[in-house]
Amino acid sequence: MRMLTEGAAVPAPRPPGDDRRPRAGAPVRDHRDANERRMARVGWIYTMPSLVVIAAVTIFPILFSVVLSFARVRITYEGFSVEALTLRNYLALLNSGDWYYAIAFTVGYTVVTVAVELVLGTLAALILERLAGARGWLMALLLIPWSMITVVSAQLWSYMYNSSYGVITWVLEAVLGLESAPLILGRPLPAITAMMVADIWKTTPFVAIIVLAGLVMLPRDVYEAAEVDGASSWTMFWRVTLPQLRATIAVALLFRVLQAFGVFDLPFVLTGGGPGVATQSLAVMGYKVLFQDLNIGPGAAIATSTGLLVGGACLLCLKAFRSQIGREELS
Amino acid sequence: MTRSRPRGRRRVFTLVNLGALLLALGTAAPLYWLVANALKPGAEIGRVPPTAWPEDATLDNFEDAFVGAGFGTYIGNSLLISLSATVVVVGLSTFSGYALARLPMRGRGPIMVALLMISVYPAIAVLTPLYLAERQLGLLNSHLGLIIPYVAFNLPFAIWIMRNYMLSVPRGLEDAARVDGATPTRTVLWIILPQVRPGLFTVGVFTFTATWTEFLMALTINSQDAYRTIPVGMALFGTVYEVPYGTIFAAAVSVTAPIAILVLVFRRFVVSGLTAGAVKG
Amino acid sequence: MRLSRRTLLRAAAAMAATSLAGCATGGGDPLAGRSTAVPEEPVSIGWMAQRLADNEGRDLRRTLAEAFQRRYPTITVHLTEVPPTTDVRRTTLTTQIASGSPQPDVYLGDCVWPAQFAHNSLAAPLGAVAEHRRFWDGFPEPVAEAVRYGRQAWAYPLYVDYAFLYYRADLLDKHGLAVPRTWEELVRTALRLKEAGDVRYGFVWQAASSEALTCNVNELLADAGGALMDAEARRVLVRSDAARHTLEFMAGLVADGVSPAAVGTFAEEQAMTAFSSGQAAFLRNWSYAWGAANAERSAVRGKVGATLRPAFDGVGRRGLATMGGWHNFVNPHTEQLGAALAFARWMAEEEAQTLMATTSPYTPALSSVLSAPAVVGQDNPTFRLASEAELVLRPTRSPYYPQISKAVYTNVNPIVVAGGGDVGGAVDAMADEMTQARDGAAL
Repeated sequence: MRMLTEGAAVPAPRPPGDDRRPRAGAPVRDHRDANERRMARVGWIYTMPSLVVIAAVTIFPILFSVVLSFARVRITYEGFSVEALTLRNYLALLNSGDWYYAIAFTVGYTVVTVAVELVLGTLAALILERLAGARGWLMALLLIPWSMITVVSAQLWSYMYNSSYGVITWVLEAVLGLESAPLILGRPLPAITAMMVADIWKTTPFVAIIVLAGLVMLPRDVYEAAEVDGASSWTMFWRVTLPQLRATIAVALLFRVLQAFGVFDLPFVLTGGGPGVATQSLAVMGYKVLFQDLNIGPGAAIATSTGLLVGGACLLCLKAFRSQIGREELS
Repeated sequence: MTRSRPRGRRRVFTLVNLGALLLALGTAAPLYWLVANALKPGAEIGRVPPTAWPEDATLDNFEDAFVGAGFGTYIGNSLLISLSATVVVVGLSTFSGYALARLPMRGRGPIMVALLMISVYPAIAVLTPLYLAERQLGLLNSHLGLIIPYVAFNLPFAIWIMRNYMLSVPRGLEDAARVDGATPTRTVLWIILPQVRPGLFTVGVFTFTATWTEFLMALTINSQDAYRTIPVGMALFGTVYEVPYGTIFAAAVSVTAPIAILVLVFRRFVVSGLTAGAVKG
Repeated sequence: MRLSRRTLLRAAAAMAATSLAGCATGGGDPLAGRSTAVPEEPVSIGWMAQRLADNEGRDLRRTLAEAFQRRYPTITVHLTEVPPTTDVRRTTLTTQIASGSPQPDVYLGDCVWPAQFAHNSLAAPLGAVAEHRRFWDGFPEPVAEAVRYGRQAWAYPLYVDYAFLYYRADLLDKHGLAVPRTWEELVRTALRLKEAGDVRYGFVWQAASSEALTCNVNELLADAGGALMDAEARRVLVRSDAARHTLEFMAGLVADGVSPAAVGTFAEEQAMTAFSSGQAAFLRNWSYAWGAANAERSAVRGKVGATLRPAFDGVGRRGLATMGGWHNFVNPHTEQLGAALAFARWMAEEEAQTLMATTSPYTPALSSVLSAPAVVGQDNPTFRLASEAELVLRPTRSPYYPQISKAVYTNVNPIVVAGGGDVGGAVDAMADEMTQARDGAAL
């Protein structure tokens, strides 16, 4: 938890030298200030390269994207031209049913997949924790989907869902006896479900491993106390394990929410956002508007509004974390 | 976790085993299908009902992938880009992490929060200006054109992790070095670095995995065949009438297997790396 | 690090410069001052085109490239593979060419692309149509019209796709039924074959929420005497009785059981599969369907007939067909302009067109080749039908055609899937969204 709580708990700059251990027999004050200034300069020299790269490639484009979202941009033979400042891009966004759908889809997709992954991941972690012999092997197996390139796993699932020779289609049709060739990726609801299944398969291990790390670090004495009280393992899970895992689960949750919100690779390969726009996430929509239609102004407006949504959600998360950490430290 | 009550333990034990079995099967089945179909010839891949075991196992698909379809080029591009980005990120984040953990600079807190915010900002939101800027600079369709944004996007998180590792290094070591008259850079390289080796490893694994699997930026910036990375090559491969799954799967196995083996061998480090950023510090 | 800092500064300067320059940098002629002559030293060019199979199953692209090389020995043509779907192909091309890449030198593109690609500087202008009347008069008027944007032509036609009606000749014979000439007749015949238990579906077509549905709406609307937009794609004409009739007819096909509700998920491929597996009596599809229906794996091989699309009883003529097809565009950033132009143009001329028409199933664009007895008289009836059909253009003259098309298919698809609904409301919504799209205000 350190890494996130630090960010939440220490938003204000620390006074310089505040975390330095006062040294016995410190030399005269002037000398120490000079040394401190020198070290601060060294610090900036160390940090500057990173900050410049980050600013050049992320902060500057973020700001420029905001400018573009208010502009009419055209690709020309020489490059591109920014023609006029306008609110049209945002009006187009507000007029577009697809945009509202993409927001609803992205949020719904995020909520459902993350919720399922958290439950399954926690279950998997509990299983892994209790498993004696094969634990290492099972963990290694779980890491394979996680380490796979998403495009690769999306191709694999698209093959399994294929409407004429996919193994899942065959199972539904021949084994479970569903009438007619089920067009899994051809109809909205099955396509959305199919996409969620593929996502859950790939990312549940990630959640499981983070939760497992939290489980392993739980203090043993609490369990022993509970066992003395004669609590069943079910009660123990709800009363002892889960509350203590809250912080760990929250971290997994934050990571997964942010990742799921930007979902692009999976729908792009699996369904192309289709059928229609049924699986079109905000990122896929933004990409299509930007690079398929070269509709740069409105595309930038989608991008900027997505950024604002994520930024807002992230701030909310941080706030929630801070208050939660505060509570835990009190209790 | 051993329990003191034998009866409860036995019951939980069977449930656990059943769960583990389901977990293993659910995870392994699609992976098995990937490998099995990489070995099937074209006609068998499209057969209904599907054959559970490749009847006519062949390595033709692998030959197609590397000789015919040029997946070798994609792997080369991916390796070059991911390794370069990883090396630069590890280097830069070591010094920045040390500075932000130990050196008395003003404004470290806001910098850390800003870094965190940037590391979660969706890539799609910066893609257009990035594309336009690279277009203007002639960086599109080049290795550098992808290495630079990969470095920038992975640095913030890397700096966070490195800083947290740096905080756990005992201060006495540096003080001793300073007394010996070592310059700050010497101190970082010879005293601090050996102490944070797990941190370096974590940052390396994270950056490498993130850049190795990245798709959106690679698709946009390097769309030309000669500069495609593995994910882009895989996604754009195929024709109007058929997707050559055999070839794709052969390539998929070829790029997944080495990573999977690495993960198997180094699984302890990977797991601690995965959790270090989040849980320890 | 030095590099990155410099890079940043250059990027900032470049962006500032272009922002200030504004319109001044746009719209220039990319070919001004460049030689368009066929080079005398050996050069090589890249051609991006999807695989085109000829009658023997060989690659027509190679045949064409080799024939071209015999004619122009200094130019070597390399083939570049393309991504699987039209949309992804368009994205790959746009990002690549907008990036200033000189490759591919020539690319095969959809016939709906000229305006969009011209508008975004993704294709090289090929000269004013009016100044090359002799050349363009050789093509059917809709074909020549479709490549024009502004005064310029932006692509050289390779092949044209026509929509036809395919039917189960064996079943019509069995019941002594005639090939339908009107939609009303088709509905009756389809229902009879379905009720007789010979087929599961009467008529399959494409109503998936995609471009394929726009093609169907476009031609059915023309059958009913209406149009989506005017010829210049400036005025929206869809708010009409003809449009309401068309939508009611489409919904009725599903409601009356002539077509399955699943047509709402069918694109070309799915409709084709339903027909060639023997499940459907009638199919609306492009020229390629003749080959697909008679392919070795098809269950209806040798039992199929093809005819012109029907008309509505008492309205207009038979044989209207939305125009499809693929054209060759020249990359404005090509380093081999002369060679690229020569190759793209050669493929639209008589030698290449004849070669293609006599060895492959693709319908030639050039009128003289299409009407040649050696072409029309082939076993494949689609050549003869093409020479009798009348092409209907989609409003592709608008650079915002993809958004216009989206306004069409997203509003029509729910009506078809539900087999009815508020048709008037759907037409109004479609008209409003098309107007917005035309003005560039839609996504």
